[in-house]
Amino acid sequence: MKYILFFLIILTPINMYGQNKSDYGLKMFKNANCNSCHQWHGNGGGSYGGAAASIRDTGLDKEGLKKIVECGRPGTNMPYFSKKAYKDDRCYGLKLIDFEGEDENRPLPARKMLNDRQIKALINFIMDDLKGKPVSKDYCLKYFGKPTRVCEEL
Amino acid sequence: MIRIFLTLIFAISISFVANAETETSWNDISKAEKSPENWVTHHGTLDGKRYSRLKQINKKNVKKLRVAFTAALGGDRTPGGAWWKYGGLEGTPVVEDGMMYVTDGWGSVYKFDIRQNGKKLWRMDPDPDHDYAGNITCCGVNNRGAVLYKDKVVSHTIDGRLIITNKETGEIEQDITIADLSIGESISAAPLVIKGGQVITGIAGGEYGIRGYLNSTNIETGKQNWRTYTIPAPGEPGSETWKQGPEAHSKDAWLHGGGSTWVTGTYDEDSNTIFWGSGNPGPDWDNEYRPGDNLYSNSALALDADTGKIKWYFQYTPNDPYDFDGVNELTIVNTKIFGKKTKALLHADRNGFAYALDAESGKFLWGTPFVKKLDWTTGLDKYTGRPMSYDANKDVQKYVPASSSGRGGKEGMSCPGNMGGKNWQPTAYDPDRKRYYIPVIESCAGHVTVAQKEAWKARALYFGGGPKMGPQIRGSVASMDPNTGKIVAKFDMFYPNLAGLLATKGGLIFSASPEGSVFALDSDNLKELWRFETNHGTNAPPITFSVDGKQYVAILAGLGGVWPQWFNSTTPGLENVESGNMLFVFSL
Repeated sequence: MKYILFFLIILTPINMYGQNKSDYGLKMFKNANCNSCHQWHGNGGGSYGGAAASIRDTGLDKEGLKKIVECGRPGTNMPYFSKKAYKDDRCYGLKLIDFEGEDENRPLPARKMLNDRQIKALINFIMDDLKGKPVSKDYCLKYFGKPTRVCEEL
Repeated sequence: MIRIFLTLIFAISISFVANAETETSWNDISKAEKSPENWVTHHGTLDGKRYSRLKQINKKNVKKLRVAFTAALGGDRTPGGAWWKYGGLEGTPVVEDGMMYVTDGWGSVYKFDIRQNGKKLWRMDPDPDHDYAGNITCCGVNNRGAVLYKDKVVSHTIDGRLIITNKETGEIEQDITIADLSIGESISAAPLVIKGGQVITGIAGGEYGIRGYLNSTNIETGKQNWRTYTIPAPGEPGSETWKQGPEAHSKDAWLHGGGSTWVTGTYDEDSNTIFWGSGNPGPDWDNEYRPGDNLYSNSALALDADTGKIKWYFQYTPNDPYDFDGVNELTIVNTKIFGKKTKALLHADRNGFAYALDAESGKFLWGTPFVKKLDWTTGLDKYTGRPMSYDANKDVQKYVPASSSGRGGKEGMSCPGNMGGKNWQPTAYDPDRKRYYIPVIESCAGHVTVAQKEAWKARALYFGGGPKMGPQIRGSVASMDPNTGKIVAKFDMFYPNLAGLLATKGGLIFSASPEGSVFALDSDNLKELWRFETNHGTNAPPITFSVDGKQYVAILAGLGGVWPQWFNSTTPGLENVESGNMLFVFSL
């Protein structure tokens, strides 16, 4: 019994406050400002961020998503999140200098860059919680972290 | 007995005087230019000039301007909704008898004692619903300030309420719901208190398909006097400008037609007229969904203050495909226009043109670009003020075709871009020099249309597309001669002017840049005379006032709103500027 109590005491805080990989990915989703254009629900649509694609409807796999997050989509408002983008060969073999004089197509830098670990967590979150899934009340509660009137309307 | 009687009379008169000193009378508001030591209404005076007769700080000594004190607002930086990391500070402070009242983005009001170097006396927290409200604010958690009336502080909250607070105690006396959050309405504008204790409220929510209105509330009873919608219902004059688009549900486009009223207007007591601008039609970018001119969106509106009846209108950008809100303030001036003495309204629009209109009739007098590059129309008709690239034979306007997007994937690029021209940041007018000063966003932006295939849904974004980031956006301050509408001077800024302006009799124009520089320019030639680095992202207008004979300049610093959320890639370097939450007060 003593041992069971000991384990309960040790494990309870971990269960209560420990974050799984998907939670860290959600944190990245917010920190990297993804929600500004793709919205909290990931369905995107028109906004001051432009006409953003639905992440829930994406046909991209993990590798494809990684490429888009790292390199953005030149010619759209989707920014690049990797510090190495357009400096090494990872982004379509192009460098920033290749876009000189092309204001309409220049790659846009993100407000906050992500490292490899953060990008991986973000992709995992997209695969686990967004891609191919409808917006649910559970997701809403997870996103906001507490009951809100926003989720009540789902 | 006589002694007792006299003592009593003396005591009563002292009490009356003390009480009168703490009350903001109608005279204090309507003749505010005569009491430049105070700043009791949003634009300083009801005519919207943002001009102060104070001249202790002037061209000769402004170099000696120093920080008198600062104050951290603390309080409500709570995140809210699905987007916002914090509320921004866009408010104009108000000051009376050495007491200052400022608001934060969520609508809390703070009272500071200037004589005690900014000691906070109280904070009124209206306790807004952060997530529910924050989730329907297109452009940040913003509140542009409180105003004073009698013994009350009058303010709004982002979740749609009008709050009447006791000036002395900070206790809420009335809490009145005006806007309906459940259909996407919110409030960011400061109230306008006019004759008879009417509080005029403008609402936001154009990007959520609201139907805009102005609301008048009796400040004593809290009851509504009138509400006037900016978009006419079927059968009303102007309703013929809302035709059905390709989708069946677009027959109700008027009901979600935007025309919001989110910038505080002006008031002319002589004619008892309210002048207020209306915002863009919705959905913002998909003008094929709403064929017709879409009255009274993007318009100057003159309303009878007693009834709310629209006396006249003037529309700037019919069937707007660019998100060119016409919501900016209309400054009332008495000056010569083309040599003829006129009571005119001056207005600097998002679309890049400054306009002079006859205040009595709404007649167009002149319209001139105040931006360096304007290419969405070839000009304005010199008689009607209509854009020359407007095609009267078409219900869906393309203007200069390369400038607008459309259904089917056609993208466009316009100058100015959707942010303007000029945004909500207020202009200033110097009646001595007869100069109109404009805070400018020198921008171009792309446009993408996404057809509004689905019917309007409550609290869902209703953009019909969006902007596409263009070249780097810069800024300026422009000085115009109202007689001719010509630009007479410009001050270039590396970043857009997101603060607004203040003009003073000391021959100075005060403003700030978004990276946190507060600066003063020479009113005559716009040469820089003074600059102070707050290093706090700044997007709020400065004011001036005096206490015990000493002049001060005050400004809030706390960059929020649209810019840090979406437009960083057009203003490289601004992402490194942190947003503070501070009040800065300067004196000699």
